[in-house]
Formats: sequence, C-alpha cells, structure tokens
Amino acid sequence: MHTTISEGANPKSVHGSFSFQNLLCHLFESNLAPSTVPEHFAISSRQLTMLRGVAEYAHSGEDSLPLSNMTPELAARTRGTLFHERMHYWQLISSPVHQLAFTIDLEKLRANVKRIGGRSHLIGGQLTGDIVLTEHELHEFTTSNEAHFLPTEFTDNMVVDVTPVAIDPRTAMAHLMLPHGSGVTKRLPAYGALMEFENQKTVVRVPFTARPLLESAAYLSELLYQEYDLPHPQRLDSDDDRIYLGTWEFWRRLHGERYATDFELGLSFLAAVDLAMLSDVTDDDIRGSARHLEVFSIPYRFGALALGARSIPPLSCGNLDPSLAVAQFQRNLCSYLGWASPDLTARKAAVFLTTVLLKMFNSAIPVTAENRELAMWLLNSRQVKAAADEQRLRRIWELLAIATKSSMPLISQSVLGTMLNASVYRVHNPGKFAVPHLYWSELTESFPLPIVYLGGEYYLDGLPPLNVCQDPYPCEPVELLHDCISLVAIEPLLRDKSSCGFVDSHVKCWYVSHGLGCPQEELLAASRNLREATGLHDWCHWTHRSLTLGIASYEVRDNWNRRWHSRDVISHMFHGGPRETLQLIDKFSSSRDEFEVTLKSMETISNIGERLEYYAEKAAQLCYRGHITSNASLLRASLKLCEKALETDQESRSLLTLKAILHYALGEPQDSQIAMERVLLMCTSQQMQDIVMRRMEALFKTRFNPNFVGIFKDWFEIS
Amino acid sequence: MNEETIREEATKYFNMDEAELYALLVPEHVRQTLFTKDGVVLRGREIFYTTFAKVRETICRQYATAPQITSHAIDLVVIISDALASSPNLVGIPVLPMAALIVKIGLEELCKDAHNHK
Repeated sequence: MHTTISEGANPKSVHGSFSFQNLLCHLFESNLAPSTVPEHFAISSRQLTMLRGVAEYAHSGEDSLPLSNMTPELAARTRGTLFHERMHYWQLISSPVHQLAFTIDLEKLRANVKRIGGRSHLIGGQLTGDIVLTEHELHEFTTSNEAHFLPTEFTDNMVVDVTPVAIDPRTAMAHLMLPHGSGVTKRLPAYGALMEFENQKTVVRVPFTARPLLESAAYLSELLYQEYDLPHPQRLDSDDDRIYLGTWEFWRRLHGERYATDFELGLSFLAAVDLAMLSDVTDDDIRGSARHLEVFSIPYRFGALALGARSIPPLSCGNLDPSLAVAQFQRNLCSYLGWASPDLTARKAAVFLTTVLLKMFNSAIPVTAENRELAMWLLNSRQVKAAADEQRLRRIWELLAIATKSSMPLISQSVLGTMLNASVYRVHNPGKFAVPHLYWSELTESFPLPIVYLGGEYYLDGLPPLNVCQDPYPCEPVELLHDCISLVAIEPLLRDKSSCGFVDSHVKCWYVSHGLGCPQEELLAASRNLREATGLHDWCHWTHRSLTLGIASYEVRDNWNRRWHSRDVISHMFHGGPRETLQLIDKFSSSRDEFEVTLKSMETISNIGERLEYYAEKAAQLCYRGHITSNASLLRASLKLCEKALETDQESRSLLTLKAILHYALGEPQDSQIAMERVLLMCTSQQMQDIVMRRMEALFKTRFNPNFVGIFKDWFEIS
Repeated sequence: MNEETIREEATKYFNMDEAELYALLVPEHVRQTLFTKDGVVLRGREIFYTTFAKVRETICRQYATAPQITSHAIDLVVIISDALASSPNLVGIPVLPMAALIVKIGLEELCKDAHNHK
C-alpha cells in the first residue's frame, strides 16, 4: 500500500532543524500551549550547586556546562526527527560542496572578526593568521554559494529551453539561468523540473538546487527508516511539498518504469543526490575545464545525472549489500558522464581538508627535515597525486594529531577534523552515506550529531558508550559540541552583526533556560540575583567567545579583568600547561598594559625553562599584532626570550626567523640579516630559498605599517 | 509608518492564515536552515509561545482591565502591536504578525491560565 503525502508525513510531537553553518540540531515540541511555557523559574538547592560549579569554570575562562546523554526514551520519542537531522549532518560533513562552503563561511567570520578589531587567527579556515579575504571576494563567494543552495522556485524568464521527458503525466526538464552572485548579468546555468498533475491546475516547478535535493533525500530516507512506503504524490500544492517531494517525484517519473521495486528506485534517487553533492569542487585544476559546469553548478550537475542515469543499467541490489550496489551505480554513472569517481573525489576532499588543517597547525608541528618535506609535498602536489598516496597522508595525519593536542584550540578545528574523518570513512565505506537508513546504527555511532538541543538541555547524540570515528583525526564529542556552541554564538558575524547567535535565532541557550537570563538583553531581577548568587555575573556563551576573540565591549572586558583575570592568568601560568596559558593570554592581552603584565610573567616562567620556544613565539605573535610593535622594551624582552629558546634549539627556523624580525623591528638590520641568512642556509631547495628571499625583500622595504603584519605572517609560515 | 499604512499592514497580516503568520516569526536566516517537513511553521509556533510568555502578564492585564477596549479585530491588532513594539523583550520579533496571531488565536484563549492564576 502506498502512503499519501499527508500519511507519510506522520504527525510528530517533536520537529527539528539543522544548520549547515553551525551544526546545531535544534529539536522543538509542536504541542506547545501558553501554560507549558514557564514565566518564572524556581531554583532548587541542587540546581544552585550545579550553577556554582559552572561559575567555577567560568572563573578560569571556561564555558563548561553539564551535558546530558540521550536516554532510550528520548531517543525513541525523537526517532524520526533525529534521523532526519542526522542525515543532514552526514550530508554536510561528507560532501566536498558543503566542506568548501563551510570553509568560506569561516573566512567570512575571520574577516568580520578582524574588521572589528578582534583576533581572527583564533578561527580556523583556509587562510591562516590574520590574513583574510577582501569584502568583495567574500561577497562573491557567499552569493555564489547561495545561488547553488537556496532557490526553491524559478520563474518563466529564467527558462532557456525545455526538454520533455515523460508524457503521462506531462513532465519536462527545464534548462535554466538562475540569478548568480551580485552581478545583474551573471547567471548560473542550471536545470529544474516542470511537472503537471491531474488534480492541480498549475504546473509545478522545482529547481535542482541543493536545498530541494537535500530535503527530498532526507525526507525519503526518513520515510524508509520508519518503514513507510515511498510517496507517489497526487499534487504538490505547498512550498513544503515541492521542496520535500518535488525532485523525488521528477526522478520517479523519469526512471520509475525501469525499476521493478520502489526500494531500488528510491536507492537510485538517494545515490544520485549523494553524487550531486559529491562534486570535485575543491580541486582548482578543474576551473576552466570542459567539466566546469558539471562540477561547480549543483543544479546543472543533478540535471546531467538525471538524464545520464537513463543510459546506464538501473541500480540493482541482487545479492549485493545495498551500499555496494549504490557505489556501483554511482561509479557507472560517473564513468558514463566522464566524471571523477566518487572514491577519487572523496580522497581529494580529504587532501583539501588535510591542507586546511596543516596550515592551521603548521607552527605546532615539530620542525624536522622529514616533516618539512612532508608538508611541502602536500602543499606543492596536485590534489589528484596527493590523493593517491594514503600512506604519506597518514604520516601527515599523525603529525596533525600531535600538533592539535599541543596548540591552542581554534574555533572550527573539531568540525574540520570530523569532515576529514567523514571523507576518509567515505573512501573505505563507499555508498553508506548515500543510503543512511540502511546503515544508521553504525553511522550514528561513528558520526553522532555534535549537539542536540531540546527543551533547554544540550544532549550528546547516541546512547552511551559513545565510540565516535577518530580516524584519522582525534576528535572528542565534547570538543565538537563546544566548537558548535562557538559557531552558533558568533554566527551573526556572517551577516555583519556582532550579537549573539542564540539571541538572533530566538533559541534560548542553556543559561537562559536555567533561569539566568541573557546578559545581552535586559535581565529580570530574579535572573540578576541568581547570577550574583552563583558568581556567574555576565558569563554566557557569547561573553566567553567575545572575550576570547577580542570583540567584547570595553565594559564586558573591563568587568572580566577586574573580577577574575589577574588572579587566574598567573595561576595558570605556574600551574597549568602551556595550552591553557596561551588561551588565557590570547583572551586577555588586548591592551598594552595587560601585555606588559603578561610578558613579564612569561619571562619569569621562561627562566624555569618550560617550553621556551613556545612562549617566545607567542611573545612575537603578540608583538606584531599592531598596537605594540613600536614598544622597544617589549620587543627587547621578546628577543631575549627568543635567544634563550635558541640556546636549546639552535636549528629552529621559526625561532631564527623570529629573531630576524625582532632585530629588524628594533632597528638592527645587520643582526636581522645574519639571522635570515642562517634561515636561508637551512632551505633545502632553490624554490624555498627564492620564496624566503622574496619575503625578505618585501619585508625590508616595509617600515612599520599595517602591511608589516601580513608580510611577517606570510614569511613566518613559509619559513 | 503612518496610521493608514499601519492599518493596511495589520489588515494584510490579519487576512493571512495562522501557519503563514507563524512562519513569519522565524527569522529569515533561520528559515534558510534545514527543517523537518512542516518544521518552519512549528518553529514559528514555538517562538510565538515563548515570546508571548514574556509579555503575557502585560497584555493579559491590559485585556483584563479593559476587555471592552475594542471589538474590531484590525483595531485590536494595531493596539496590541503598539504594546508589543514598546516591549524590550521582543527585540527581533516582527510585531504586526505577532499581534495578528494574538488576535486570531484570541486573547481570551491566550490569557485563560493567567486569569485562573489570579
């Protein structure tokens, strides 16, 4: 028996949303009534103790909250909705299209943090340090992404040509030119569906953009997961019907006759959507090639896939495991269309993400000839070549695992690491991400949602014990959860706003849900009293991130410093590890006075010989961050630290480069040149020497001006 | 907006069905995230009830003390939207769709528990 659309859309008490930008899975009840929404909170003594515990962490600059594990009851109650959101998460982390879009969003965050005077280098991304894309570049990238992703309808004036594909009921594929980017004349070649229904007067139009494709696939997979029959819609009236069923209905009309069962027809549709999103977009070599459109225009790509699938044998499971049947179908389709195989594309995505992570953690990788050779191999090889050498990639992944543990955590590193794991998983488990309703158990165990928010609590997805995929990147679920909270909190920066993302999206964060109110809004007396009583003051997700990124208002920063900073920074310096110390230094050293205190403390600690190189580098990083570069005594103090560190590691290129910079900054060009010549002698190739020389020339032509920072940073990374 | 424009807008929203109005409460950037089917409307419903809880006392008190304030629906939408616009708790919420929903659902229904608690 076939279920109708309305029967298929089973009534749920819990619905959900998933954001590709911050990975928040937000579940919400649909049976709300005024009386179910509390106006006031009664706090028990147990809750008060718990809030005081949260405040203890806050005093050390941490946003640490009690997390809940999913219970079997909750998992059962939210079953279908959770599966739907998990599927979106798997679509995001395993698709090169989304991986690239995510890194572009990160660049936008970094650029906007820098624009308002914050510490952009604390957000990971394709670029590193404080180098950011220009406003124009970001605008072009983001508007282009939106053109592929967002449109859910098209108008007559966008139709270039129409190809009939079925007669009863009448169905056609429209060749479209969708608005693209900011230019008036710029258009995105695309395809879409035109469908007539017996019971509907209007022709239904659905473009093959990412959103209708992803939603259709998630909805279909959700129905199969819940063991419903697949829908055969009799009409598609509402926007939701078109978005969730439009592309599936087109596929069904185009290919239905060739399939004996809905099961295999459904799998073929899911395989095609997965393949549409498994595009080679991260490979720059493809730009300008004949395959350009099929790679970079998702709605064009799906149209080509839909027509191409008519010329290859239908997907057939036979005696095969369904994932292998899906993988075979995808390979056949790619081969027919002359596209890169799914395996190669996933491998190239892994190379892209490895490159991004390597740039992020370059400075924490031990400097040896072998490591340098590995890094240069990755950066200089064509993607296709690097993708073929998993053995060498594994050596780089081992280095990354060490580097990420010893360096300061960057916002997004866990997400990017999980994307890398998903790409590698895809290589070794072909087909599974396309049809997750058949492999939901192992996918949920390996890639649980980072955060599930329901009724004021944050849940870790999956039933304990959690056994998430850590190959090749080690990533703990709690770290990923905090990464997501950071991304939610700072998300308005994507829209050039510096408010809290929880507030902007009308999502009550944990603090608000626990009666503490929102410091970004007017606090009720009860919330204010509770904050005072627990010692949480103005602490929240946003306060933490805005202090860390250096974008908090003067008042917030000043209050924080007076309340907690001085005591804890010094305490961490002597009792905590370098990672914690660096976190605090970065959070608070935003004025010259604070820097002087910090530097003196660092000098003290350096005398006890702990991680000299680390602190010296940090000192220099702080020096070139603008406002203190002309302070000779601070530069001298940094130089002293640097030279002390060089006593224990005379061959450190980064330290020698740093020494050259500091001498130069102090007006000692000869000493600077001597240090740089030593760096040049350590370059093993002519190419490396040329790069360093060019950087050097650029630097020596530059006096202290804003360019100094960028040039130094470039130079530092290369060397 | 002048008086006439506000009334035109209020009429436009009052003539929409409840599902459309709930969806309008969801910020544009949130609407672009991926929802389960029918999720946008239900998310809007959640925003409506959590937001209404913040202003319920004020709105219901005004209604309770002056139930005869007006029987004309559009006038009521305009009056309530004025009250909502001055509330610091409604930052980022479009007040006319919110007010139209309050009137369509009915103040009596929404304030039922508030009255019982008095």
